[in-house]
Amino acid sequence: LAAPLISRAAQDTGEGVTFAGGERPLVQFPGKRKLILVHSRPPHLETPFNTFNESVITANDAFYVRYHLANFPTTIDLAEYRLNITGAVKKPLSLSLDELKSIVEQVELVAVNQCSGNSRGYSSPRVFGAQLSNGAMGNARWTGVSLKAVLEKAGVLSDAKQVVFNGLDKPVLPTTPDFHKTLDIEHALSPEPMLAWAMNGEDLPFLNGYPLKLIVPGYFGTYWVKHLSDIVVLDHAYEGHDAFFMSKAYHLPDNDCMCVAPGTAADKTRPISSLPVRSFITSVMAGDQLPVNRSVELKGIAFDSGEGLKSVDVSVDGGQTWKATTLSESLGRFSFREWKLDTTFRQKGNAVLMVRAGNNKGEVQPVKADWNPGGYRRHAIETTPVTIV
Amino acid sequence: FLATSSQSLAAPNQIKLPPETAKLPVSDLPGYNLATQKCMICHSVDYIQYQPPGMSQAQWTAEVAKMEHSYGASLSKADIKSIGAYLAVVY
Ligand code: HEC
Repeated sequence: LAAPLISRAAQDTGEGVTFAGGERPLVQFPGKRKLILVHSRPPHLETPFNTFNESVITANDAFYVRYHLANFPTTIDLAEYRLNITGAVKKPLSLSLDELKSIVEQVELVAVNQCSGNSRGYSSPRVFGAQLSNGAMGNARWTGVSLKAVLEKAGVLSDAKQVVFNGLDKPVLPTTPDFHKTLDIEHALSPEPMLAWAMNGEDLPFLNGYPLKLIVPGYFGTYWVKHLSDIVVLDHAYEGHDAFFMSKAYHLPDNDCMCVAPGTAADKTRPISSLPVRSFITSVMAGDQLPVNRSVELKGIAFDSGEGLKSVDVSVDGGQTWKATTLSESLGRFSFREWKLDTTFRQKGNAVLMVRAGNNKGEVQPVKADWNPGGYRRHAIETTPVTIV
Repeated sequence: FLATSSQSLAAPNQIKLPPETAKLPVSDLPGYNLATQKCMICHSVDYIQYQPPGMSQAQWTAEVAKMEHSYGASLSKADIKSIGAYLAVVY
């Protein structure tokens, strides 16, 4: 039988990240349990990392929250809510949520939503932006309809190029760009993207985008527009003031590694897109004490952009040797997948645990983190220092 | 309210956000007053306090300048310099 942890490091809301003005508090927002404050107006809340050890599905009240613009409605009346589909379509649609639910067949999918800036706090050198630890991610079962099926009801014209998504959040001043995201038409008409009204069998939590959210499986959370209200099909590439969050923000260096030498700028950039393969230990936190000469069950999660995980390996000697873990049943290729490994530590003292995932496309997590000016897309092998007692 | 009623008959979904409490550190520097006036218009100032420690004056000044050129904050060149200098001292 696996021994319980002897102690768990005290709850540290920075989880190893430091801040200019001191520690971040735990705060309670509507529909949420106590989460880590990233900022309050508009709300940005991070999930405490030990939550990911509870279940491969992230509870609705624990799921992280991210807004960009502070002028968003705090009351939404479904009697008035409409999803508008306009632009390069044969038949523009303006649908109530009930109409959307009945217009095409309902679908369900488990998928990870990870913030582009998840783990930015570990960037070295540090960069401005939300100083997140590893909790700006979550895995949920989404219920809704396929975006493709809905677009087909509106009848996409043959010259369509891009699709723009907008939600009910707005900038405080008109000089600030609105938060609009785009998908190329091929992606929008692929089987994956969804319009979801339910998360883990319940209405979407308000702060996660009630009543409707764009789900882009395998893509970073920035594309998953909340309080979705407008879908506009364009016969050209989206440009202009409100294209800012596609054309300037959320960009990575436009090269193979999507990285540059630490502290330097990129000559050419492109929008962030899909999730790199990543894995975490969830059953042990940095600083924990583990028992010597007893079997300890190590447990965690791994995920990628939907290519499928090939291997998840663990090292308990700082990366010198690796052991294959056992993967639990898959909830789908876009979901967190649980891994487990029973191990026995034979020596007292310091030990460094590491976990490394690889996928079917041949991507393997790198030992050393690469760097980009936005602090996006961190995916290096995680190391967890522990003490064996 | 009846749990079985159809969604469109349900009461509006309404939330009340907790009050915002973050404040900028008091200082005699001229940038303090300016920042108090300018940096809470679009968002709370915990955006600022939870940035990395030890960013240089040049870095803070560039960050304030970003509020003007990317997000349309109304800040003169002198405002940007003065707020950047204040933030580099207090953080
Ligand atoms: C006109 C609007 C506006 C004003 C005024 C404004 N900001 Fe911002 N600020 C923004 C927006 C929009 C963001 C991005 C929000 C997000 O993504 O969460 C932001 C983000 C930030 C961030 C987070 C890091 C980043 O780059 O995203 C910091 C730090 C910040 N602002 C500092 C300031 C300071 C200091 C001032 C005052 C000098 C200020 N802001 C005034 C709009 C503004």
